[in-house]
Amino acid sequence: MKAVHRRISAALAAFGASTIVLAGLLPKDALASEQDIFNDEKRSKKSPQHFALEVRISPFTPDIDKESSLGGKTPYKDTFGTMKRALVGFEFDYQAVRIPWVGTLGPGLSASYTQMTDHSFQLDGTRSKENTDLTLYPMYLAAVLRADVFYRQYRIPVVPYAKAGLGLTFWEASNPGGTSTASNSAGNSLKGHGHTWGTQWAAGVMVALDALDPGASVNMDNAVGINSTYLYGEYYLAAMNGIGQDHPLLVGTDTWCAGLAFEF
Amino acid sequence: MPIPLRTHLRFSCSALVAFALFAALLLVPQTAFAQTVLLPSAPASIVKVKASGATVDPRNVGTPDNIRGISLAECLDDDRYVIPLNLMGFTANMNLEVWAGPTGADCSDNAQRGNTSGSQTCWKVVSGNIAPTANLNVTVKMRDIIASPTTKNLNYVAQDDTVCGKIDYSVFSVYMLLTSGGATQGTPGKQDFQADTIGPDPVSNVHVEQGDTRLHVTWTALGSTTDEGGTTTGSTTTTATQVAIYYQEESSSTTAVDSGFSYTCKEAGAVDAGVDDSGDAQTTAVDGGCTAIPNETTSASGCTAPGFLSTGPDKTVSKLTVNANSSDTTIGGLTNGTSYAVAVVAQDVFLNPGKISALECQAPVKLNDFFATYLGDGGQAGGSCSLDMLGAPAGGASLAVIAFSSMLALARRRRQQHQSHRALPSEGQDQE
Repeated sequence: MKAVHRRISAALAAFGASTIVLAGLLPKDALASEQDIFNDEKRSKKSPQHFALEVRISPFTPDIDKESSLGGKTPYKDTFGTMKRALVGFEFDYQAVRIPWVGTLGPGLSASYTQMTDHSFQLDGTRSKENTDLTLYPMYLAAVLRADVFYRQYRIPVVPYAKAGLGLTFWEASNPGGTSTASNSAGNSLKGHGHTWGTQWAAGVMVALDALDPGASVNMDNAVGINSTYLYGEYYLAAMNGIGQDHPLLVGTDTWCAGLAFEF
Repeated sequence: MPIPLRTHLRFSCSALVAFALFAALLLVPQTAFAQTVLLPSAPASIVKVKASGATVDPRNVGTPDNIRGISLAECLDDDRYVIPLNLMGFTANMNLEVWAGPTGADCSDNAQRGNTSGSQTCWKVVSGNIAPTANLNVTVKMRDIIASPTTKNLNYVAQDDTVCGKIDYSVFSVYMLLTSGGATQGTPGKQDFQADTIGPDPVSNVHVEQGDTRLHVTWTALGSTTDEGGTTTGSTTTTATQVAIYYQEESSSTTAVDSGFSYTCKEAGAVDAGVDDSGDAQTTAVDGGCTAIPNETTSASGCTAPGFLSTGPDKTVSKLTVNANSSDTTIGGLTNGTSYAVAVVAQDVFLNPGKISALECQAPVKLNDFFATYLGDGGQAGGSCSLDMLGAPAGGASLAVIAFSSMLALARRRRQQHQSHRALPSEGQDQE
């Protein structure tokens, strides 16, 4: 079962990666340009658009306690409780191609950060005064498709989008003395840090804020080159189950995310 | 043949001009080389030396004044300043005298150093009179500079360490004077010294909590107006600038004097009378007539350690320092199960210590952090590479900075391109 899951994950990752590569390799002439199809720049006198930036925040609880070797024990929940932590980050997209009557497609690179802190345990199981931390740095490289045809063609300020790609999360367990060190069941001393590979999937909807004040949007474009500003919400699955890894820390999750996005 | 009047007058004028020029040539050197005492490149050129003559770090204080300072430790150690001088315009009958005075005093004023009836404000800081030479170094004891004797004397009076520990930040001026018959000649040299020999207020609410091979020490943060000993001007020179945390393994004995401990020997009777046995190691029997008084500092809870003496921590006590704004720190590298005595003391910019806090004793204990709990529950992950190996959070922050920098660079380039395109007439505009 585990092997099947890994093969599926690898296939999905390969699909995402190939999409990214394909998007980069496709000759722009092969696709109709946005001027040809929408003639949007001439209409709105907006500057060319090639990039997107998302500022992201989401509630986050890693899947650490789902590790099979824990046998149902819940060290994460026992230490840090059930309160979700905030994951903050950003995503930077290169909108490599514009697909006629669909929208933009291109690679997106994201980096985020979150940290959990609580008190360590004394040997009798009670809490000590000393802190223990778990810090995560989730990242992913994904193919990002933003279907802005509704907004550009029909002036409906809604842009649905989807992402698929490869994820990598660096993690570190620490205490006031630095990175934690402890012995596993085999008696081997391990440092409390590592990385976990996985896949990243997301689907969401962006609402264009330009529609609220088109004049301000034009001014922003003239001033700093931002074509459009969006408020967005997405649901994502960070399946960080360790592609090709023997003992990954399950630091993935599935949750929602919200934030602001800028196209420029 | 009579000389024409015009010629006579012209000759007279020429003579007058020549005389005036000659007189000027005579006077100019007199003016340029009047009696002057210069301190070239002071205060940087002023060197601090120990009583042995060894040169030590001058430890500038008083930014931005950057003038030399005098601390309690330097006073107790009988440190000195060596001041290089350039003297000009002196004559054989002149002497070089060195005097000190408080802020506002002018020791070049004869009345302020030569009248013991009450108006004398300065005191002599170098014994005797020095024969002037073009270049010479004057060595002044710090104790003498800050002496501020209540009874003024026309002659130099050597000071002992009883003058130390009395100055709550003050500036003293040292005057290097060329004198003749006791009267100031020409322009004196002057150098200010900041002195502070009283430490800051004590640190309050010191608590020590257990960690895993660590102890966590907390205290009430020192305020910006923390009194450094009476002066509360808000100047950086008068407030505590750092906090020192002292720690040492707790003593197993809190009653008897332990072997190897220092002690104060109170002389009784005539045996060894007058001998100061303070600091002697108790490796043999206490000599006759002495009553050994342990110098261990003991808290109300009985916490004690050998290096915490009544005079303060000795050099066997470990120390770490943090910024004065801090209110906590962690002492690492300790042994679980071993009790340590901890005390906290504020220090001012002169490194004068304030009153040390009462000792708190705690022993680090084994704790289970998240990772230990995870592995203890059967978890298998760990040990592979991560950002902390690059110095996270610096690693993560670096990635973010690089990503944002790249993005901004792209955006800027794109905007510049856009603006340059807009500046050129487009094809459509041409057609129109």
